[in-house]
Amino acid sequence: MHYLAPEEKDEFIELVRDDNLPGIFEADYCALRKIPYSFYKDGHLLILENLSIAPPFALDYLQSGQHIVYLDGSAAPFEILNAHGCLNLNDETIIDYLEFFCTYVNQRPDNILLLRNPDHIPFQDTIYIDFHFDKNNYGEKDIKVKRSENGYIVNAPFVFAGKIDLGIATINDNGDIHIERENPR
Amino acid sequence: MIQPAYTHPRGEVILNEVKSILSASAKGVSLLQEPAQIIILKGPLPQAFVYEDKIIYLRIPALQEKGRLEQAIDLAGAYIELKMNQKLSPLEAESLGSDDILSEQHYKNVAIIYKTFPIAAELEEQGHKAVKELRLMGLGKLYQAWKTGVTLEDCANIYWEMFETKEED
Repeated sequence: MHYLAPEEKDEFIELVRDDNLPGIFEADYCALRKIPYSFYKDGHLLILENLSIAPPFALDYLQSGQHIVYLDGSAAPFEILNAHGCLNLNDETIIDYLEFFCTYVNQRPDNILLLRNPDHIPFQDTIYIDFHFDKNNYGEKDIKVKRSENGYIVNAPFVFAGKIDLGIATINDNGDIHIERENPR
Repeated sequence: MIQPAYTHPRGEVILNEVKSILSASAKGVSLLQEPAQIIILKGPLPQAFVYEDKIIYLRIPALQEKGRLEQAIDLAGAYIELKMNQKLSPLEAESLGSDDILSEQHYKNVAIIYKTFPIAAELEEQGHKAVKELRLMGLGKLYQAWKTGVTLEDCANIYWEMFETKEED
């Protein structure tokens, strides 16, 4: 992760700004961070932070080459990039993609999160207290990936609406993700 | 590239529902009288942003279709910040990043939270689960301290402890 130079930040703001939203895109008050992700071709997460408040007000974007989408908490931005053929799914990137998708698609209060690193689960505020006792029983070793005819199947511990349960994620080669409990209730 | 769309497709409905929840508090009703433009944005995590003493932005996940208590508490905090901003000079961009300004910004944040607690308490009295919501928002410890009658200064010290622990994590 690194902060971009002021000129690059200004250029980015010009691309994404909305003049109907005063105060948010004032370049002098903003910083831009960039984090690489290899599940998209030439892929990055760009975080535009308005530093006039603390903690900063942050807007998140996914970039793949020339394509940039605003992450709005739904799956739609992923679908746009995937339709442009930006996805780079393989054995090495599949878990990163699944984890990232779960993090940025907020179905509050029924979030589904991949339990990969229990200490860095997002939306901790929505998680039941039991989680904090159970979480250390699970980790990356419990995530099993196998290739299917048209994508991947991932068996792993997930946090379903704040509670840990084993789940199955089906991810097709187009990037569509479906997650359900191994033993539906 | 496609020009990003930031406003929430159900913003108007959500805002009405959020205002209705906040109206259960007498102090909330008083805040709602303040002139302000409120814009509902979409984004992965709920957060409020107040621009000077003019505009309140409430960010809500795109998949959320109804106003929730969490946003009513956020809206109360945003109104309190808006009122504070009426008495403060706008922050100079050149001063951002300095330790002093960062401390001031965080202190302001605590002051907003501190002034939001009486509204949350009123909402709780009216049958909303505001205390639970504050806990889910990570503010349970501060609220419990406020309930015992501690000063803003004491709350700020607790906030710093929480913040430092989070940074260490």
